Amino acid sequence: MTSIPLAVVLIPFFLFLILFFIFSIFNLFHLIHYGPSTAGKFAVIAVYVAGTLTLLGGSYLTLAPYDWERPITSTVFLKSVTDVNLFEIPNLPARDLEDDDTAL
Amino acid sequence: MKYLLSNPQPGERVVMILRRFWFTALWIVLTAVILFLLPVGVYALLLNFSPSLLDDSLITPALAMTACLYYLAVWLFAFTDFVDYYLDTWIITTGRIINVEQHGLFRRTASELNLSSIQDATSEISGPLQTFFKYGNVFVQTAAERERFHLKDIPHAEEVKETIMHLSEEDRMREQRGGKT
Repeated sequence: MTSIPLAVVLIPFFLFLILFFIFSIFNLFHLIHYGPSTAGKFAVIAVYVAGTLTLLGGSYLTLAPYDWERPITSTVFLKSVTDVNLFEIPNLPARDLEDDDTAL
Repeated sequence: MKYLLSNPQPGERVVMILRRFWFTALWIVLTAVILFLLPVGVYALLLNFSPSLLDDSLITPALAMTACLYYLAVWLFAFTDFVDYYLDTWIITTGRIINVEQHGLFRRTASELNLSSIQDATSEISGPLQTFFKYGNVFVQTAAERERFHLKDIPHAEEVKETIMHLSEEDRMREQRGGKT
């Protein structure tokens, strides 16, 4: 039985982050270098930087609480997949008509 | 807005600086907002139809990571699209049209054509949005077998076309007068 840490799923995320920074730098360079020197340009840059920092901070706060050292074993993975049924209609509790004021 | 021409001709002055209509940017923002709200809908569906998936100690972190990646990607692509919109500029002077266009991230075109060489200008306003907000495209064609200039999504397209034709005529007459003297 093979086992790998859950942290491996973060590898594509970090690769994407590298691309994200490269593309962001290119975009900002184009904007600063070729854009008209108006307040609007600096507002756009400020909004983008603020949005990026918010998203990165949010990503950190979202991902940090998980236990990324947890091992993924083939059996655990298969079990978790078989438990999932996206097309299953949930069994909702029956409404009690006597207590329901909205019932006609 | 003042614009300094990099290589001004004698007596040349800037008549118009055109940018794409703001409504184009609004589309980019709206698309980004819709894409940002999409995972909320997916989350609600999962919560109703497969809550066990959200309790799974392996799938939940993977889903959270996918959501973070998705939001960053939408943000980046929306900004790239916005930069593409923001850097498209057309400058009409008394002697020429200067076309500066950003195509994606790694391609930028800057070209110009003399007003006297213009043969035909066409304005195109199509669809209810363009008709209502009075913006559209202007195509400028020269005698040479080259790609025609395309002024995309500019406000008051018809007036711009008229101005270009008027300036072109003036430039042609000026050249003729200059030739005679």
